Amino acid sequence: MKEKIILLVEDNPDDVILTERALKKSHILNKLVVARDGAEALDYIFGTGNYSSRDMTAMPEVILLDLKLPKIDGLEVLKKIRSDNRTKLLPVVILTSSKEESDLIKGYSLGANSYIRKPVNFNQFAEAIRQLGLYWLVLNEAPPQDTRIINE
Amino acid sequence: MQAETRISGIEVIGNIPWGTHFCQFYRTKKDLVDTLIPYFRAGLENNEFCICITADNLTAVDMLKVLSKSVKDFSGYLQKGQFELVTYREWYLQTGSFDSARVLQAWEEKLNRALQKGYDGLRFANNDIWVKKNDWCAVTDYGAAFNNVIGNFQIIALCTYSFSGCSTSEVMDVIRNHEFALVKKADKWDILESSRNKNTREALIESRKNLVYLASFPALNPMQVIEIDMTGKVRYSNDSTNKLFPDLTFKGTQHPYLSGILELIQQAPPLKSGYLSRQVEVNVRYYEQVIYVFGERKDIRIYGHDISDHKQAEDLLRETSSYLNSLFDYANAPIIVWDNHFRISRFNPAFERLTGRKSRDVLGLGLDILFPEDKKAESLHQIRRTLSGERWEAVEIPILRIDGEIRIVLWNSANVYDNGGKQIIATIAQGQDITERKLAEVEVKKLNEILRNRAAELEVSNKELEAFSYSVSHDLRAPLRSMQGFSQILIEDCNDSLNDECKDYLRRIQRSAEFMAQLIDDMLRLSRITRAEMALHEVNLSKMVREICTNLKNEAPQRKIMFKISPGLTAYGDEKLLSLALENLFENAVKFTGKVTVAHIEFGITQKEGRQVYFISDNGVGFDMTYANKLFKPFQRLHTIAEFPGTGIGLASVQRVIERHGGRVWAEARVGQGAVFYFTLGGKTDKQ
Repeated sequence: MKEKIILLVEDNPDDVILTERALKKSHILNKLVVARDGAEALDYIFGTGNYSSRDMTAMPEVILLDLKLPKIDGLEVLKKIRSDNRTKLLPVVILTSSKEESDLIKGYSLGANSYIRKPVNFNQFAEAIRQLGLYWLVLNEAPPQDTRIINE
Repeated sequence: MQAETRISGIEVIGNIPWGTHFCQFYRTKKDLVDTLIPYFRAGLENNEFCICITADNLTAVDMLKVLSKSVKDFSGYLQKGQFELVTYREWYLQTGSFDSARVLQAWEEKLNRALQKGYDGLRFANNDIWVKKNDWCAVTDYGAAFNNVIGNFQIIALCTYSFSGCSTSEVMDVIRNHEFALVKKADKWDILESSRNKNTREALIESRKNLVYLASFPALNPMQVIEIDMTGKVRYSNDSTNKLFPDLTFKGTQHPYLSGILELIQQAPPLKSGYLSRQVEVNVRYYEQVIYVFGERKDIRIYGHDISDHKQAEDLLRETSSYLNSLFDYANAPIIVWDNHFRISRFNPAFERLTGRKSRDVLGLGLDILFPEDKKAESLHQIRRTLSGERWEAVEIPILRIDGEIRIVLWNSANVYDNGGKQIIATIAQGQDITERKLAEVEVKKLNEILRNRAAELEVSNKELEAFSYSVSHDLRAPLRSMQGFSQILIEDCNDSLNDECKDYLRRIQRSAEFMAQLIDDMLRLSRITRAEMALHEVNLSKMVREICTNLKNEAPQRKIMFKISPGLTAYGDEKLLSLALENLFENAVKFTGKVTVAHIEFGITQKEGRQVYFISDNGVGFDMTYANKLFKPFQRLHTIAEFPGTGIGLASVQRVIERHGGRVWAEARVGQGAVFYFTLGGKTDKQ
């Protein structure tokens, strides 16, 4: 069984550190891949650009997606993921500062599996990450890796 | 009308008028027959009653013989009684001697009978053979008298005299007493006239012609021509009168046509014009009468004509004209009329008010005085266009008032044409002073422009605000998270090397970061309240408040809070916004009763300033009314955060919600004695 990868799409390095720490605190030791903007995230997911030599059989178990991102924003990344057969069933959790109603609606409409607002209080944030990891990495039954088989 | 002349039958004489009295001098019997036969033939054939007075020289038998031989159907005339033969004895000498008065009367009777029988008149011939020398004077007097009589009647008379029986003086007398004489000269009949008689005869013929001609004037006149005497008896009425009023002669002044006429004449002052005039109504027709009184007999002559149609037209015209004048004078709209030389011919009172000019001052003047100098040419050009038949509908032409003010006037015009309908004789124009409207239009345009700019600005600033709050919501919290998070990491990782003071500082950083995050959230919420679209429904406020209170109780299980909620309170509004406002108010109530043993919080309605208002009361710390005006301002607080936590956004949010519902919110409180918050939701949204 392959290692379960978490893809964190986050441009703020502080938030990356805090997320890593929260994961560690919750004893979630899965491989964390960090993409600093939307374009990098898509490269990783679809094995393009810097990630063209990536092993495409290893898809992230869950993607933690910020919305406000350089280059390509989070909602656009989500749209691309959902419109590709290889990735359309990938669990995507929006993890963002905003609780703007419009973001929530757009996120869910585009097929986000969950929407979590990062609390300012670190303990609360850590708790959120813990529950998230527990759910998506342990409790949740992941979809088949190659969805093309089903669709063809 | 009778023919004015009769046929004499005697070639050399030709036609003669009624009243002609002539003679013939004969030598032989044949001479007599020569004239008498054609003379009577003409009379018989022309519907005249004929009498032949025979003498011894030409007896009745002789006469009948020659006449029946020479006149066609003579026996028919005889049977009808159109011809009579009388001997001179029977006629002239009934009493044995000549009595001129009796004979004249007899002629008059004969004539009347003839007329009664339908003859046009009387024609006779007589022979003077009976005249005795001693009677001659009497006969010549008779001749003169006879001339006077028959001159006025439809009588033609021929007297025959024997040349041989008359002396020269007698011949002269005869000729003098007749209009003319027939004598035979060189076997031809010729007319012999005394110069006096000739003139008289011509004058007579002429005057008779004139008389008949003149008589035709009243008779043929289609107007009424009537003569009455001073007793009111109708003496004459012409044909058209008789046709119109067949009973006029019979009724006299009892007839409505003549009634009151005698009184009018009696009462009338002496007439300068020579006549009176009046109008009478007979059978819904109107007649105008001109009345003359003249002559010694005081005859009254009336000339009348029917003026009904004229009067009707006149009445109609007067009525129409009166309507038009009233319309013109009392119209609120300025009305002006100008002739085809653009001179002012009418100017109504409204126009006087518009221009400040008096009608009498401008009549006859050119239109150009009405226009401001710089618009004169243009305005006159517009006006000239009406000459080609153009009508204006809402043409704008400014008017210069006498005081120099300029009024903007909207004009309609119509042309007035002559009888032929081709030539424009005047133009009538009606104006509407739109100066105020124009100014208002300009003002409205200006305001609209400002409004449009404002709206555009507002839209821009709304968009900016949206972008701003989006950015705030995303970016402002991230640094706070770092501050809070890394402080926590420091406390956790360096717990042993940090003294208590340092740990306290780090916790202060954390609290500040969290408070600021709260502030940001509240600010965004407040701005969302202002921007959110409202969905208005019937909202059950009592139920909503119950749910809020249940939640609040659950959040503070250690508190003793007594909620009293009036049931059945509803309002019309946006459920989400109202809920947010009520949540804030009840959170406040709970918060500020935190220091009393048992909190009493009540929700209901009450009367305030004559209307129903909602209220939320508590028995908490209350506040100083001096600062009541700060209560609803964002980020304004009446208590320290240490005493009662909060960002100062709650009541500002409440006020925005209430105001968006068209209502008002205010509070009454005293320090230490609780507070009451009142609110209304606008006329329509209050509880029914």
